[in-house]
Amino acid sequence: MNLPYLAEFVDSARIALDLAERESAHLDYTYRTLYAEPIDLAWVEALATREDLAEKIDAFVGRFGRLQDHLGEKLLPLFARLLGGQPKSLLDVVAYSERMGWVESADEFIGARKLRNLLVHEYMTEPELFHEALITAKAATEMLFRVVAAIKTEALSRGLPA
Amino acid sequence: MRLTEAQRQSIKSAVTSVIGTQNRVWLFGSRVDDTKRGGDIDLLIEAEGLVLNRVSALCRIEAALVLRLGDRKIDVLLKDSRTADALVFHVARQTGVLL
Repeated sequence: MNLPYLAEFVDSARIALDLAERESAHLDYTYRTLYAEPIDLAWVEALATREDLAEKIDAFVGRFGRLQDHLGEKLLPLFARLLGGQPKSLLDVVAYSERMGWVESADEFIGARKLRNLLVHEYMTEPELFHEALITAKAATEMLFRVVAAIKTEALSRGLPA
Repeated sequence: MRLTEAQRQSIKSAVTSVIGTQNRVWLFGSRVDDTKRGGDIDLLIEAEGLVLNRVSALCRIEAALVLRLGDRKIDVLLKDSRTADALVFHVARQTGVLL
């Protein structure tokens, strides 16, 4: 029987998808609690003295970064290999993923890595810039969630074992 | 300065593709030191005017640089006409090289 994927990559792809879903769930919790806050310039300025808010930002950036790295370094390359692709670099992986419709925009996916530096509150020089970064990170988080959902759909449509 | 002419041109074109031609790009940090090897590419971009959404511009510059130079550690600071001056900008200008 011809499988619509390469069997030798199934286990690693399933493990990577499982981890991505768990990382997404944790990020989703922090994302919802963070963006339920009234984030404006005064809120950003309060980060210097409000340890609870600063900790929330740290949790968000950590979880955002882990999911982003996992997608770029594991999930997307493994699903590319599962389908017979042979991407050699991150750029190949993201370009392949864009062609497959898993990633909406290669530029957006790669550019979002910059957000992690911009959201380190200890480095904050300007509240306005940090505020802009928080607003942009909200959309970027939703973009990462859509990548995981697209891969999940791909797995289901190809009948990958659960 | 440890950048090839092609890399220098790639950086200039990446920056211009996002924020236009009215800019100056400084290379600073370890890449300025010819005695070292490897290291991050630290850049300060000074835009003449106002960059409407600096975070979006920084993300697009990051992507444009990675696409042109490959996946390497690049750290970009962006200063536009409204950005308050800061010590790091002075250091970058004093110790850096204008590309």
